[in-house]
Amino acid sequence: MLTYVFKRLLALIPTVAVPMVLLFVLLRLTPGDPAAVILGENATSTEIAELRVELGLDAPLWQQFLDWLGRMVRFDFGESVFLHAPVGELVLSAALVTGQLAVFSMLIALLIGPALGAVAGSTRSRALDRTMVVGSAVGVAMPTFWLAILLVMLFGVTLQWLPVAGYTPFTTDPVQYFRYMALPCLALGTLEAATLFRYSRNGVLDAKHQPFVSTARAQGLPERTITRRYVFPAALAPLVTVVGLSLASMLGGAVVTENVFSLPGLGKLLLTAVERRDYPLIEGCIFFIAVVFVLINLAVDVVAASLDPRIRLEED
Amino acid sequence: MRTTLKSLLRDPSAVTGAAIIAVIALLAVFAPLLGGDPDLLRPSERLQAPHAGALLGTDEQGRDMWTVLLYGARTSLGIATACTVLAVAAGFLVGVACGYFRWVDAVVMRVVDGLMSFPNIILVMSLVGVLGRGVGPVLFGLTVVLVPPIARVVRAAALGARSAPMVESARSLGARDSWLLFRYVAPESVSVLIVQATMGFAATVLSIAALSFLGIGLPPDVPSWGASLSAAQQYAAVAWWIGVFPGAAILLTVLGLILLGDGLRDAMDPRARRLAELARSASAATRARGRARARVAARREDGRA
Repeated sequence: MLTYVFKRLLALIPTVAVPMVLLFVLLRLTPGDPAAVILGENATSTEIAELRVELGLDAPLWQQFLDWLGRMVRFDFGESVFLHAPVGELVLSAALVTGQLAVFSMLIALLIGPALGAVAGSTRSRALDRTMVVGSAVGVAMPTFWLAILLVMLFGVTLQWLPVAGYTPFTTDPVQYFRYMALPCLALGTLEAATLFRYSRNGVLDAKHQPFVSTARAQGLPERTITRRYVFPAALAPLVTVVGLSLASMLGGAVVTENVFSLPGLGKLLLTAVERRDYPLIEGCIFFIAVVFVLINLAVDVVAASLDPRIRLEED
Repeated sequence: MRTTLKSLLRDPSAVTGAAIIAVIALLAVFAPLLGGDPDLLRPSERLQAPHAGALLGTDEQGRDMWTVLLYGARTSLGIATACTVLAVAAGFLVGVACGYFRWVDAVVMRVVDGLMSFPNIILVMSLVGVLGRGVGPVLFGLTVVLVPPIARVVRAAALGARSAPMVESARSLGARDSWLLFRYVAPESVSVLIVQATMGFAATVLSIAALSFLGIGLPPDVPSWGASLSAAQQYAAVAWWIGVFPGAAILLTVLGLILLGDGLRDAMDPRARRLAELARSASAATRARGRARARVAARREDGRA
């Protein structure tokens, strides 16, 4: 098992390295001086020169690369050019908000998606199944931010039950915290539920035709027992992988949702960094997101391999 | 190919998807004939609810919403088409090279894996952040994220074709690599390529909407569904129509593409096709049995009479 974990870890390194190197190369190859771009048109040449030294842009390319690599390995991203705070701190405090958003949304999705998928997969009513399948297709095609805006229009503006946008930390005011988090989590969670629905429905349909189900049926077990004891467990086990990967990709979906609701998470931080071309901050955000991505992927692989030894053996 | 088309036409959701996309594409192409002037700003008529003069209302700059939607379709479909074509070309080359020439595979596939597991929108955002705004960086970013999945499926198809008996015998007869690639490997990957391109197109439409919603990438004066939605958020209290129609346009486009993509996948996957045919022949058999039973029953009635 340990060799397996190690191998997977090695295989996941490119996920961090490729985007980072891409950013490094593009930043240096783009025409125009990054330091001048950051400071805008009103900057004096001394200011630009100072920032060039600060960002390490005055050294030859190979030296810049080695220097950069050394800093990345030590998790040293320097200071944000605009927010004048260490990138590490900014990223971590933003990640905390995004993490809560992702976990709550996933809980909502887990509450709705697999249950409906199991119903759709095992129902005899074709109409019910078709309706739910069409509903899930709409859910998959729906842009998160559109649902978010519709929710804001309904619950925030028309009914005025919940605040339109903003954030209060849990420690300051728990009630306000949940009022602010409700709509973003509902938007992300409902759409994620559509994905989970599709996987669990297909899982149930597949499992129904497995030999062990036929055996159980041949032994005369009641259909209810077969469904509960054999079909559902076999169908829902692969969901572990899907949930893990969805959690990771929610970092992506959260970018837009966070900006609709002005939640101070990673997505909002990244957008600020991109708008102001705050290179150290962009690097820090991408690095953090990539590392989280790798860790979640690794966890998913390990869980899947421990559930199903065949996966482990296939690698060797 | 003909069987593929036939089974595609028998799939109601695929036909629906294709119809939706065809209508939206036609609307986009004939936008200048169907709508007004997208650059005409009339501040005096801003934020008007749908009425006879402007059936979908006007937006926050006084533009006719229907016109903005038509030209938004042009922006979305235009950029997505360009990205998909570029990505298919690049992905095909990379995939074939990886699947056919093993020494390329080891290096390139690691890069592809690295890019593929990353959330698209975040990668495009950071590329735009580094390269600056404008259509060029957006095109580049959206294309870069489309290439890896295409390269992957083409590689898998090429790997399969490479070890196929017909390819080996052709090679033993002295066929050159370029000819083998053209004659056997390329056709093998066409079906997976089409499915992947459809799905990539859908993802790109969503990404464009998200980017212009966030206000990065496209210049603000280009009409786009995402930009309209971000205005809708500001005027949510007074103008529901800016929020509803552009979102519906995005949803319809992406839904159409997904339905079409799913249908294409089923139609091109021989295993799925066989299963569908089996199901059809099974139901045909049931119907035949039913008719036979009815005939027997009828005869019995006759006998009794």
